[in-house]
Amino acid sequence: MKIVFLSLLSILTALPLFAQKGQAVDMALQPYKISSRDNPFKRNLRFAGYKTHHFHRNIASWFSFGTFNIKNEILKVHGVPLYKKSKTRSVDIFAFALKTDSGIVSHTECRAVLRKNETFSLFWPKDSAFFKIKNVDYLDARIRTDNDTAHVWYLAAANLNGSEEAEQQGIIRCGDSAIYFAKTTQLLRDQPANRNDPRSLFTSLNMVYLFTYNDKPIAAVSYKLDGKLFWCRDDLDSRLKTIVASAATLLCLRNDLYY
Amino acid sequence: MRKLVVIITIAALYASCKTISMNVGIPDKFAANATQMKITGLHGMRIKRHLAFGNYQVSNVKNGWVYTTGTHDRNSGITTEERLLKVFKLSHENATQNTRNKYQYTIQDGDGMAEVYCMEKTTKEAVSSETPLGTFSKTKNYQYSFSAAILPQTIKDEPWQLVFYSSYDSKKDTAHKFWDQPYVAHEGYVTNGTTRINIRPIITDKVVTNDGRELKTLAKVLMAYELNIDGGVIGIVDVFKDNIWIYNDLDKDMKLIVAAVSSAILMRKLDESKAA
Repeated sequence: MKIVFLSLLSILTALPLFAQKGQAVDMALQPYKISSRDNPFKRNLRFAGYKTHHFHRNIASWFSFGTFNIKNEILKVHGVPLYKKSKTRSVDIFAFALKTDSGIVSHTECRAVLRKNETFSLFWPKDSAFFKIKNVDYLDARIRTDNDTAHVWYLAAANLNGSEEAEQQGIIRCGDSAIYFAKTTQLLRDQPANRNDPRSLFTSLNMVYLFTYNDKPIAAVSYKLDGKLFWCRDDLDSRLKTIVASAATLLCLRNDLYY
Repeated sequence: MRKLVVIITIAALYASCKTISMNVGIPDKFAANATQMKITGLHGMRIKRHLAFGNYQVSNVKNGWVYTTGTHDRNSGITTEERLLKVFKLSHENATQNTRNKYQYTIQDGDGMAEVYCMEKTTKEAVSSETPLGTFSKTKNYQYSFSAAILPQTIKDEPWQLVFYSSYDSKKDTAHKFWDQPYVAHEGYVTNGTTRINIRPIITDKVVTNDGRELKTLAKVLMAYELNIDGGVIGIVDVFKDNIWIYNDLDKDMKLIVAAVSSAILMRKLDESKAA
């Protein structure tokens, strides 16, 4: 819990500096198509030589718990609400392994929590939007690579459901090493580099989570689920590539918790 | 009598429209040193299209299909509108639509030739709501990307890469009043690694009449694209009057690149200005 708290604290303090910086095309990031077989019980992803394995989602992820508020029922005029307080708690708990042709390379355990606390007031607006929002939206995870059990990477992210005005971003940390990621719109390659095909020069704007390491983009993964792509530098260290691939898989597999 | 008044009014309106012919304000200094070329074959049947301007001919056009897919996808951010619709229990849905188009052709000027490969793509996320008064839709974000690879026949190993995009994000929009235009970010350039030609859309509410008077339109419209190197204009693609202007002092290879870029821009199918 302490690690989660410290990680979230570092997101709140350090990451506002990590804002969207222009729209330069990074042609070094090579795209890989993410093929998936989606069904509510089993989700398998396959991309860039990686494949998900033993995906398991906790049953609590299927439910959302809320509290009853008497004011919601009383303060109505002909069905029009004058006041409404929405207070619910949703979680998404899942785990998976990532394997390559040589076997399992990482294990990831993830827990996402959204405590929704929104109050609507028609006659006493808290701001111009009539809403007082006190949501708590965070995700934390643990990524362990199989060949390096001594070093576990911790992932912490905030506002991934977009329920607040803040940036949707996170950090993956192990000792002094830190990989940052944030939701952004980025110009990226559309097809893998191929000297014989001029169409490999095509680029397009993509809504992605962009991963940066030492202030340099090292990977990206589609935010939208339709036509998912994963971009990665080919010269990236294999250990970092596995960590980023695990985090990208996690971001693809997570459920939206805002109902 | 009433019929006569109606006929006279329509005739007067038609006549005024004919006299107030609007043009893009081309800078005099540039116009004096550039060649204006009227584009033919741009409109009408798109099958076996044959575009031509000046001594440039577009041939071997291969048009791809325009693919559109629309799904309920991940919500990029909860808006106040969505919260209000939820409170008032109005049915609404957040949907994302992707559209993609590809085409390729060759352009030649009699001596040289270049192959041009193009792709354009849009992604639109919108919230549509059904109310007793009808269905309303609000765009949350819209991204238009246009990309091309231009391969001059003479130096095929040095392809030119074209990148152009426009992006609208309702959270960054500065339009709050009814007449305000939505804020759309644009950027575009063509480069071969050493030379960079910037593409700047000219969106203006100022037009010039045939007799040289400057007029102001009700809303800002996309009139042209300016091609420049370090601020020095080398070409203008007048999409309003279907004209291409190319600076005279450019060498033949560079003129072919400017012509290829201009034709690629003109042959697009998807709408880049569908933001709001």
